[in-house]
Amino acid sequence: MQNQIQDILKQAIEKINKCNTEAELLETEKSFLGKKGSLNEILKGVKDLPKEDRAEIGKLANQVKQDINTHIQNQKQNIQDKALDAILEQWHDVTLPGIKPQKGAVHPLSLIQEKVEEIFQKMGFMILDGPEVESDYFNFDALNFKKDHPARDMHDTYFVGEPQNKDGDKLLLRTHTSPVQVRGMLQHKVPIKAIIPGRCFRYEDQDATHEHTLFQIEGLYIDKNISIANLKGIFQEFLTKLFEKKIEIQMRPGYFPFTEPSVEFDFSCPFCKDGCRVCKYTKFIELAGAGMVHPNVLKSAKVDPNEYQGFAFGFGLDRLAMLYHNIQNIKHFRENDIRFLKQF
Amino acid sequence: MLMIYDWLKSHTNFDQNLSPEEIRQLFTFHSFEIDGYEDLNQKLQHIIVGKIISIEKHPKADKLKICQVSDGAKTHQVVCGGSNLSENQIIAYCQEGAKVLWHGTDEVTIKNTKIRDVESFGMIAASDEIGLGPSQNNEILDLTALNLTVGQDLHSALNMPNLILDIDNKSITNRPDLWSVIGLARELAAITSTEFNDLEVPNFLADNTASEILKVQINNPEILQRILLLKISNLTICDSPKEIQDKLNHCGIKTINNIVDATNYVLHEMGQPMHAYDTQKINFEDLEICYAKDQTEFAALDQKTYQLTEFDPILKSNAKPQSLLGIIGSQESAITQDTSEILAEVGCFQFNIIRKSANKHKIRTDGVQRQEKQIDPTQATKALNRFIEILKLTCPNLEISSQLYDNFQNKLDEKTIKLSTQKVESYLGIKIPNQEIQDILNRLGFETQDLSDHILVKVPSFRSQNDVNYDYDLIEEIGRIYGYNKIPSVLPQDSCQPPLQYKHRNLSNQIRHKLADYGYFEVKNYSFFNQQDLACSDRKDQALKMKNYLSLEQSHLRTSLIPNMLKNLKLNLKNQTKIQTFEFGRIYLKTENFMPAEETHLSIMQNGPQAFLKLKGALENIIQGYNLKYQFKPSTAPNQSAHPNCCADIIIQGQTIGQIYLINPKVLKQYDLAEEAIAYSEINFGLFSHLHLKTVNLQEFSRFPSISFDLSILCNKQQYHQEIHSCLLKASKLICQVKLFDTYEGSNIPADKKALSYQITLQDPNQTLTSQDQENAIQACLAQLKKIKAEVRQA
Ligand SMILES: [Zn+2]
Repeated sequence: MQNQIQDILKQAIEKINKCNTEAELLETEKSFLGKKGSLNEILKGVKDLPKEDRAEIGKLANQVKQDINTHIQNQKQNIQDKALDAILEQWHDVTLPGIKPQKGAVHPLSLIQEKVEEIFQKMGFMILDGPEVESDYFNFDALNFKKDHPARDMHDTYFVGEPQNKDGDKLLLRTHTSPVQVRGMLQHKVPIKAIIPGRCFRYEDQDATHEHTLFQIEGLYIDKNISIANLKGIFQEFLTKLFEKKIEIQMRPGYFPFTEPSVEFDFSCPFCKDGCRVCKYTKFIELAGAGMVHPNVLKSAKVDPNEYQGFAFGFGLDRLAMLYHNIQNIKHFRENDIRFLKQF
Repeated sequence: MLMIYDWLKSHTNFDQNLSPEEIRQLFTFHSFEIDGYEDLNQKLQHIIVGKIISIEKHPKADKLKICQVSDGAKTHQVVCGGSNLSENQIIAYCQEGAKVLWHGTDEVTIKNTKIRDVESFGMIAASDEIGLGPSQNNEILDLTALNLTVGQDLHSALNMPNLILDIDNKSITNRPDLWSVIGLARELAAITSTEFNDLEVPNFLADNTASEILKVQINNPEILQRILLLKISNLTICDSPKEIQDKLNHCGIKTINNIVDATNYVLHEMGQPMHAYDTQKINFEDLEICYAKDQTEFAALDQKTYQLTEFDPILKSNAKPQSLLGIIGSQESAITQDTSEILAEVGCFQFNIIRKSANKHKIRTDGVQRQEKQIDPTQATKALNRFIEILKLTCPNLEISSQLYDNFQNKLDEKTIKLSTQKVESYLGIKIPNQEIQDILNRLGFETQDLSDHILVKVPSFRSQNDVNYDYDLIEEIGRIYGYNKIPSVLPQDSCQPPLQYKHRNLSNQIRHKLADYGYFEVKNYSFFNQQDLACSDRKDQALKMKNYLSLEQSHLRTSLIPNMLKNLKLNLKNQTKIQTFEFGRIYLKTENFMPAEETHLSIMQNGPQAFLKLKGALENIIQGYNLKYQFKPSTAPNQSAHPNCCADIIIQGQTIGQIYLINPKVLKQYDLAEEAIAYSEINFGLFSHLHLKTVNLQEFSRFPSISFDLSILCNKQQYHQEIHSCLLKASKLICQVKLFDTYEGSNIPADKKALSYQITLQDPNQTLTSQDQENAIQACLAQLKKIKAEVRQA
């Protein structure tokens, strides 16, 4: 029987070393050490042995069991190592195209609007809204447009074809976001600092530079001692944050009925040092109209112009987005072509 | 407006020689914008006065001649094809390097070259080749009559200005005084801190002995601010002196004859429009200033006939309009070759009356441009004298044959403004010394008086109408002349409250990005509807109609976002098959109030297989993201554009915030879309953003294992899943999840039935479940299903 047991050990080692997978190894383990395994089969004959031999055989069987187990463990280790080595030897083409989740896009005008809002919000500005269908009063009268101002002529303004109200006020599509200056002051009182992003309309035929629907950002800052110098300061800070680059401001005289003095803003081209296509080789880019809020506008908002003063500005979000993303034609913003949208 | 810079400069002591670009900047940073300029000096470089010494035939070309051209010192051989060449002719000789317009169009630089094997040094120019007017019949520019010195450069020989500025009209709409040489000269002097030299004009009216007194009946005095009329006779029609013609031509004004040119010259120089009537058609017993009668025919100078209305101001004689006042004269009383006597008119009319009338008839004359901004009436007499002075250059024997008629209806009040220097500082954010403030104002023509706590400023007449009224108007003058660029950038000391959070904005931004991450593209459409769009909108009764629109696409304001999104989809189908878009936009609704209601809507659209369920899933993800309990309930009032059997109300916190549906195929057909199924959802985002967003309240999960079993349920085809789902869910307290994993219709089951397979999960928070628990749950499910006439399908 001792020989038989020793033979089993020999056979087992031989078989274990031939195993190439963990499954085979498990099978092998079972065939030698399992309940119905060959070792147990032999040990069934132990009961027929003399008592003094039984202990010795038992000892031997245990030894063999342990040996087989050790071999199995070793072989297992070998198999696992080999498997890992095989994985490590695999070649991969890391340049194959990635498998992407389907991706949409946020409209570039929304993206830039979020940026602008965030910057101004961090500077402590409120964000206000107002109606797009506006009254003639808020769009013009309240903003110091005289009754016969040419901007009131039909060719600039879309009128909504509803009857006038009893005060003779008419409905129109707002031609700028400025009515919300007055609405904002009436609602929130002064001091106030706010920006007003929104959609505006001009009754104008479309071409590469003209659009009948425009997106604007209006700014308003009224307090006791706000000056043109502050306007320059705020605007410089805003553009510097937006373009993440020190921006210089250039101011020139302008004309708007609702500001006095009125100025136009250019800012140093963030894309070049010595002139480029974007700035038309002038190193400065035209952006905004601004000025000190006209005392008549403050009066419309029930604010005493002898006590309060401040500035307002307005610029086209379309234009800013075009600069920001190097977009040549404003039409792209309105066509909603996915080939355009998916680039953002 | 074209302006000769040299002309302005001649009225100032400014003597620096700036480059055209520097001059442009000077005006841009202190006054107004310059659209462009023409540098004539630069343009005529390398072009000199030459003389043709001799002419020979070209051996190889019939139409070409070989000329020997003198530059005053040497003689050069030039091959030329001009049809009017002659010996001793004085010509414009373009030397190597000169820039010319080939055939009047393309710019080329002259080089010495060979033409048909004959050497040619430079070129003899035709007038259109060097921008000096049109040329005909292949003729070169013949300067013989001008008596020029051979060898002189052409620019100075012709006494041409250096620089023509093109001033942006829009940037001077609020400055009536800048629409003239004199006004611009004053501005230039103010900007450059130099002296301004006003125009000096003799007074020809001082010793006027004419006896005739002009009588005018003024029926509508509101038309006038001031009008001067004067009869001038003994005139001969001829060309204006060359200097006058040149100046007018450089300013883009067509020269006509001495009288018309003189009116234009005064207009351009002084900003005062004038008109001259031939007196032959004027009845001096019957002169009237009034509004026209409705439907009066008026044949104007521009060869057009206008239908006048009762809003058109006219000078009437012989029961006919002789001019549309301040706008255009009549054909009848126009100056002709035979004119020998005129009635000269200097008018300052009410700007709004002129603007209205001119706009209606779409007449934009130089006179209208000035009249519609209100002219300084104090200049009228000077303008008339200047007119006579110019006229005397060609008609030295002219006679003033009537007394001056001067009707000054609305005299200007003297305007003074108190200006506080402290306010100047507070507005501009920089301290400008009192003396400098006064200097700036004085240079602009304001008189100042320094009183202890403020400056008293007298506004000159040319700035006092519709222009400078208050102290802040003066601050603008000070700011711009001082230079806005000298003002520092200063961040203000803050006293405003920090802003609130903007839930609506934050939510829309978040959802925008989520939808983009789910594969949707944001679009931004116009706010307009056309007639067809309106037809498939639910709230067409509330739609606002436009009064004026540029195209039929804009006849109404939108009451839903769907039509424009369908148009987007159609456009994009040209390039791709799978389209997922969304839009945040407003709709506009008529209300009982004057102001309409505006609602911000979020709409989402998608096509392709299972579009409805995919869109619903995206929406569910978004709603669940805010921890909101929601329900998609089969709609009892499907939207007009919805498939009536595939439309659900989206209900959150008991409120219907929108709908989700498949678009009605009939609507798709109207938009010419052959797509089978397009899913769409439109949500009133205002309602959504007002929902109470709850924070997550953690549900502790059971430590005991769950068990699951499947049930296949046979029910009517039109049985809603939702009903079975909630029925199963409430069958037993132990059921914690019910999940649909298969639907089946077809063979093996009756035609009017379908099979829905659910996986049902049981869990107890406090103990391990037994097989008895499962058996009880199944029985409970069966009992519930019976109530809704569904049964478990035997496998
Ligand atoms: Zn640049």
